[in-house]
Amino acid sequence: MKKHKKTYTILENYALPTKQQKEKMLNQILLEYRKYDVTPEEKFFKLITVYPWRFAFGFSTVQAVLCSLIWGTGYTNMVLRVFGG
Amino acid sequence: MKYFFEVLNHPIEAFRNKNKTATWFLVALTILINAAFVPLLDWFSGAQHLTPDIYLILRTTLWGCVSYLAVCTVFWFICKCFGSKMSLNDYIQTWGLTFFPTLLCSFAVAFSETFFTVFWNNSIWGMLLSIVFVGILIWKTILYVIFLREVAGLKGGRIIGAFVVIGIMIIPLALLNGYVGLKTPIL
Repeated sequence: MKKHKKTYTILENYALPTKQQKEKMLNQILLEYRKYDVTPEEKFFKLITVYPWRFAFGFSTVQAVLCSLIWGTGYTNMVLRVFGG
Repeated sequence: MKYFFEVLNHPIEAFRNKNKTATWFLVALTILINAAFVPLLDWFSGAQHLTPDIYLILRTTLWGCVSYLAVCTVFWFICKCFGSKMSLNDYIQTWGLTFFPTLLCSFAVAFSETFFTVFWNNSIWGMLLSIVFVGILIWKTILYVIFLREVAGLKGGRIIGAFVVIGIMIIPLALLNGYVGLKTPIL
């Protein structure tokens, strides 16, 4: 009976995760938690850093339309003079 | 192709993976557009322009490489002053990943300069070009900040300090680029 108990304990210990595995599991859980529990600042950061061209050209379109409506070709000519070589 | 989409859409992951092929391809193509495509487009578009000079093309290519190394050195030095531990090699191998907007800008500058009269005083074309140029500027700035954060490993006040100092250093470098004939600065 004692021998069986010892074998059972060995098997049980062998089945337990190691310290490294535990840390990996914890990191995974924290990562998943962060995915669902994001602050508005993190959401905004992600919006800019993932597909940065989308934010850049979106913002640029708004400014181009507004400034062109206000200043007309004076504004577009100024942009062309500064950036257009 | 996967790596180029990563550079385009997920710059943080691209900086972490440090794909050298993507870096060198983007830098080389941007320099070539500046050095060879601009004079060729000039030549094909109008009779008043001279035949492209091969010596000038080679010289501009060389200046483009020098400019890239110079901006990486500036990044390395300033970031080191602000506490970054990355080596110069890391900067050289990763800064090129921010060259998608620079590449696009090279094309936009080439066309806007060559066909200047088409765009001048034209509200529709002018507005489209303004969207492209300002968009590129914002895009490059976003990549610049991500680069300081992810590659240089700066945070908080240090990132703001490095952003301002490098920004100031970039102005004379951009002027020098213009002086040597690089219409889009290789920065």
